[in-house]
Amino acid sequence: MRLSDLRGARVKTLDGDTLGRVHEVHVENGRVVALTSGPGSIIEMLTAKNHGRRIPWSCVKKVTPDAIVVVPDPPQRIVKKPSASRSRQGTRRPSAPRSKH
Amino acid sequence: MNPLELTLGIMTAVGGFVDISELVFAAKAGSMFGYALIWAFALGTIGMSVFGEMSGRVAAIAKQPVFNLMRHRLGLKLGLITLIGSLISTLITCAAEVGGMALLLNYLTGLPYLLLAVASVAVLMATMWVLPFKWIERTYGLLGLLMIVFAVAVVAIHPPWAKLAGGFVPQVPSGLSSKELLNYSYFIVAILSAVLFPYESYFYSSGGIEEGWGAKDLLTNRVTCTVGFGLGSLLAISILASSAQLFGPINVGPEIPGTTALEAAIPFGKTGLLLALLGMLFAVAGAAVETCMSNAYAISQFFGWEWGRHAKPWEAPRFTLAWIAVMLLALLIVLTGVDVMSLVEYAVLFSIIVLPLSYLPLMLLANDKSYMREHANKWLAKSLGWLFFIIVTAAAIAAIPLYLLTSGGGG
Amino acid sequence: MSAFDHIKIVSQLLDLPIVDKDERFCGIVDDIELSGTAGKEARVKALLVGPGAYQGRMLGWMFWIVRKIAGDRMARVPAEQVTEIGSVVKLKSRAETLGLHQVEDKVRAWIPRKGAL
Repeated sequence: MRLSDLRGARVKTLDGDTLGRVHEVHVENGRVVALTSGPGSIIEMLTAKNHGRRIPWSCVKKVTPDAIVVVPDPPQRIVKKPSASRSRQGTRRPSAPRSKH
Repeated sequence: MNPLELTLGIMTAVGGFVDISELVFAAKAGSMFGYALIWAFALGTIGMSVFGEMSGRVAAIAKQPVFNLMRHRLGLKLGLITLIGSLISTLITCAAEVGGMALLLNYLTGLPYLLLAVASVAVLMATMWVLPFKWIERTYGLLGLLMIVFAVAVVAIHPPWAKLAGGFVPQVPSGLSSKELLNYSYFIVAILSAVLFPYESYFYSSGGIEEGWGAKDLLTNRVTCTVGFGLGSLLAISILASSAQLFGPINVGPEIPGTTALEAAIPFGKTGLLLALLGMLFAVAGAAVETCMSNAYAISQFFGWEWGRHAKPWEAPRFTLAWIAVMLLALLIVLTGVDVMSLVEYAVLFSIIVLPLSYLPLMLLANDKSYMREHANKWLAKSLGWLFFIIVTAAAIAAIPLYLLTSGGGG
Repeated sequence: MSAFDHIKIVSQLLDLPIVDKDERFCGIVDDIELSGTAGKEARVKALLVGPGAYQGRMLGWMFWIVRKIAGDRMARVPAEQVTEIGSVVKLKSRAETLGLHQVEDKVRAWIPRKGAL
């Protein structure tokens, strides 16, 4: 299974209700613990501030090419807060002062 | 902050600010509309300072150039569209710069244009191969300072200073016919595009990584972007002002750089002409190098290749191949015989269309505290950034209709 | 504390540049392989790097063009190789041992090693 199989996939319950599309996959200690699904928007994608419904991975019944099927009415946590800060230290390059052009 | 390095950095920014598009549009704007479009250069320069400062800050703090982070934010598909659009617009700009070099060398030597295009590319590629990054930048930037002759020339011809100063105020000249008004609008869009070319922020942010910028360099970044770009912009405004004073009243349309060089020849004779032509040559050559390297940076960063001229060419082989390919493609475009002025028009048109997609990720990254920590955009950078984003988006939407309605500013 | 302690792999890992032990760029996180199945334990198994990894991320005809231009090679970087995830993904080994620098090394053979200061 790949991330590309999950991301953007439609989420449906066994009852046939649609819960939007997957736009985030949460991992803890290397394990997948939840998906976030929702209508999503280009602004959310650009700002990496995805709001929506967090669905525990244990509620996922099936992953198919057409949709991800979850239990009816999965316990939800509406994600409202922006994504938590992570250290974003990059690589170093040889240092020397510079100019524009 | 090392004062010598800072001074050299500012001087390089001044000498390297102007490229063939700014040369052409400044001269034409002056002859057609007098001093009325000075404000468009000033506005574009403020925008360039805002986005340039942001891209330098992102490079210094996030330690990542804009195109790396752009793919991360836009994703693969939208990122590819942005990449392809940017590559095409920057390649056309590179071809315009190479053609401009050949044209200027033709005035200086009388040798055939196409032969000089080949020779120009050979010299550019040799400097890019041999010299490390800092000296590529400095060589052309400092030699481009010969353009100061235009600033001195405008003082020597005693323009109406009050009218010139009035040009800094956004305006619509009175008495324009609807056709002239459309032309005026097209020139606003074209000037904004020429000053705000996306390759400049890609090159600037990649250069910041090349030179290992960190938090200690933020002040240098800010000073370079404000003082350096501001003074560089005055060179373009000098060309516009001289054109307004010398060519406007006699209805001469400076369609080619050779005519623009006369602005320095009229007050200073042969010496002025020579300095003007050489200054333009080095400024345009510097822009050719920047556009070429900017494309190589964009491709390499998008696909995660080793990149940069801080490394030897064989240490970043795909990056090296990329800039060689870009330069040769630019030469191929010039060798088709397409008119340099047409290339300039297309470069400006394509660039303004990709500008919003290019600057939006930069804005969002510079706002992102997870990357930028305490150096994320404060209220001033945020406000100015969003203001200029709205301006460039409006210009991007208006660009093609105005180009078609005015036949590329020809009326 | 592992690199995958608390992470959102779409917004904080996918499409990040990768650098090896010597801080050389060696690709982008083009996709992520997960082990396990729906509802049961699923883990991050490997990072997938290379044009072959685009297949699940673009339309068929787009991938056909990509394959014609760049081929469909793909390298798997086991998750254990990842030491840090920030604005880049840092690996504990050199790119060559993970099969990440093959094209770079091939192209290097075409570039003359002289003349540069």
